[in-house]
Amino acid sequence: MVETEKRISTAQLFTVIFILGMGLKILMLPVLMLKVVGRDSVLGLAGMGVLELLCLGAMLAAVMLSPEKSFFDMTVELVGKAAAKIIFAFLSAFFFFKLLLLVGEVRVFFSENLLQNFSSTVYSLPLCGLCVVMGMGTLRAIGRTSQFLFPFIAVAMLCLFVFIGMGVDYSEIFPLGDYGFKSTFTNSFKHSMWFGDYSSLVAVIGSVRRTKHTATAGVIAGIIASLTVIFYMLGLTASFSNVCYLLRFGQNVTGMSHYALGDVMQGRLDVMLFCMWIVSVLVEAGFYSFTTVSCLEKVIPVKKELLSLSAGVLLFAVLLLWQSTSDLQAFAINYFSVPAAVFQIAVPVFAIIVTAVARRREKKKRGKTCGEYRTLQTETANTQCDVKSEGAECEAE
Amino acid sequence: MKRSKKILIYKLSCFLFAIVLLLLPQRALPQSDIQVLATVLGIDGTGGNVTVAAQLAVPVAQSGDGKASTVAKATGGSISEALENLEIGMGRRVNFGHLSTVAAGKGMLLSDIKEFVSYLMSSGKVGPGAYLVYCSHSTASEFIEQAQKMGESSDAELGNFIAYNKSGNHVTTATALKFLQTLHSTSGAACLPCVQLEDENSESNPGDSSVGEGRGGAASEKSQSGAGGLPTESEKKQEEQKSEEAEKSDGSKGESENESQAKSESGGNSENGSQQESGGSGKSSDGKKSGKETGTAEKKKLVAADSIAVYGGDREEPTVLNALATRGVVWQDTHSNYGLVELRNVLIDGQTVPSVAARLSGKSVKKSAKIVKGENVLTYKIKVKLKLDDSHICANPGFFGLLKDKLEDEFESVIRNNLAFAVQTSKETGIDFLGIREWFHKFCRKGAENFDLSSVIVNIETKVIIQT
Repeated sequence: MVETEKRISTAQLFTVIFILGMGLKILMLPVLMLKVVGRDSVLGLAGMGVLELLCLGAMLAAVMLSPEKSFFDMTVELVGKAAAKIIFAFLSAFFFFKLLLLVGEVRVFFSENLLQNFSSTVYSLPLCGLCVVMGMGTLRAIGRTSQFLFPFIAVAMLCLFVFIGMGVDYSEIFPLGDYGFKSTFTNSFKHSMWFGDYSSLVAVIGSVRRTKHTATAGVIAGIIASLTVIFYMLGLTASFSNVCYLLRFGQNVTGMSHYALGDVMQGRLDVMLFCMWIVSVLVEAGFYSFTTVSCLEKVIPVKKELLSLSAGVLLFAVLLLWQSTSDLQAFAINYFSVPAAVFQIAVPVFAIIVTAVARRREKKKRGKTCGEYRTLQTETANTQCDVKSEGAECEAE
Repeated sequence: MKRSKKILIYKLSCFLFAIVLLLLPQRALPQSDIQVLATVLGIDGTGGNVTVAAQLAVPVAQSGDGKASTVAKATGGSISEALENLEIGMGRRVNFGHLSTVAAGKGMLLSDIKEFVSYLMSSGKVGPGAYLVYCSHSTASEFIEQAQKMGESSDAELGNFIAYNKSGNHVTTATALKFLQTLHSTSGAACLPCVQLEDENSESNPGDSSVGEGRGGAASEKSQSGAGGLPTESEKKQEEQKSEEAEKSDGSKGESENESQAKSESGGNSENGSQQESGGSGKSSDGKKSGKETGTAEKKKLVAADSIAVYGGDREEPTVLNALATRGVVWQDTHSNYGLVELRNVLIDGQTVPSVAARLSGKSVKKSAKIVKGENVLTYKIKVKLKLDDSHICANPGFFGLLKDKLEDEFESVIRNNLAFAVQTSKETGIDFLGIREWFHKFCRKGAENFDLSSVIVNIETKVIIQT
């Protein structure tokens, strides 16, 4: 059972869900989808977003249903140790690849826009270092960090989006539906690796101080994050719908807001705002790292710190060997779309099954205990004090 | 993990990070000595022989002084080669991060400008918000050289000029992204504002000499209504009188008349102030006197010509629209919401008001495309809010009450005439620079299927509100 002081609050869960829903999707995905899918990428993104919200709902249901146990313990109880290890190995590989993708995109953004003459290997080091530190931390630390940074992220995002909202001609989005539903869906589906971020909420199951508003807050956070991504996608599509070939991979929310500001003489105010926003991506990277390490811990029974360090070293090594983020993205699109889609749906479904079964078992166990208590109570009045603790639970029920 | 162990790990991490910082690339020279900032870029030529000229800000170590600017030119077989040669010639890397304006030289072909701008944007050298202008009377290199000299002697730099025009004048501006976006639309046409430099003392060209247009920036002087509508009877009579007077009078008299005509319906431009100060040769008030008297060649003024260059249709060369068509284009441009507009020689109840200036405080343009009895019909609904600039008119409430309605009707008529002329020009040239086909493609797919620009019916509804 997770100690109370190590659990995250509803507000922290809200911020974590918002960051998870927004970070990876705003960085490079809109540019990729616009290049691949075309003008109808807005529709594709909206469709994938709806699917993702359903998955979020399933994860939140698992969070609310779960007894006071972690997802990992419940899985072991359900399927046994051996099968659980296989599942956790797959999960850790999936989350590690998502982390790799995220860090790769952060790297390409900085190398395209800000640090063109700086070796990406050098600034990948602190990035991987951050992942190592957050990987070995606690969920509560991540929750508190995201809660602390959330106002800055929200203000920066609001400013950036106000700029985009004011400066873009949204009639350029039309006409929609030119490419056909099948083509749009197929091409959007290829980007499944960029979705399914809420699967990493397996790490918070059993670790949330639940209230009656927890589920509502989580859903609202997910909806706001999805709408944010769609709004940005609309701005990008409206600006580049006829000239997708001009898009560069470094182009994202900062480039858009700079353009929408309308006057290049004002300098790069957008970069300052973007620097505030990008901490959300770094928090998301830390969360993926934490989830990866948590899964790995169940597979390889060594100290968490060592696992986190190993994962960080492996991440750095892969980034060093796999210099081209474009290749990484192409790999994710061409080979990982189906596995990613399977994970996106399978993990929430599995989480619900695990938590539902665990909850049922917990209830049975309590029922049995209460039954024994009542029998004991009627038989021996004097022994009530001995079974007082169990009795209190039963009385409460 | 024990606290002491954690502290040891943190210390080790800090040490490692310090090592990383030590390994950072070091440069013996400061950045300002190894790179220059390009603020304006001009392009001439065609594929195979491209000339680029860049106005560069070069930080110079001078006591109490900031930066100097210079113009560098280079040629190459392609634009990328030309830019590379520019850096080689300068001996420094050229940083395009602060590039505000790209100027296309006179006569640049459609295929070339498309290639050049696409290259600049896709390579990241030019941001999507950089302004694009067309040099209607010179090569881009000459233009930038002259503009740079002017910038050294005054604060009227090209970048500021364009930026001011966008936010403060009722003229059309084009960014690199907008230009390409509209060029690649189904309309296949895009506009660029024209800029030119002319001598301060020169006699302005009559430019586009079609009757009925008011004068624009610096190009022509017509005694027509500054709003550019077709002249009324009273205006024609007055014009004839004025032309007789102008022929008899000396230059100074023509000059004073031109000062009042300096304000154009399409908005002021940054050279208004200097134009009023220009001396010398009389400028014909009716534009009949053509030709240019060269004043002091060194003194130049930067003007937004009252015309735009249009790319598209079947033509490779740009088509330069006249002032009237240009104003029509500007009226339907949703991004040009500010600036000065003026009516001249307005007859109200037998009283002639020579000039009424008003400032745009808001404009809304709505377009609707539909099919009516098998015909494509595009309807413009333009709503304009104006604030009178001539406060003395407002001083007399009784007179103003009569004037207000009349002025609103006049402005509405002018807007309709201007836009109708632009539509007519579009049909005649076969270039859909108003984006009519694109609008049908977006919102009336049936109409776009068998679209014929020449047969589209365009209705224009205008509403002008003069705010008091």
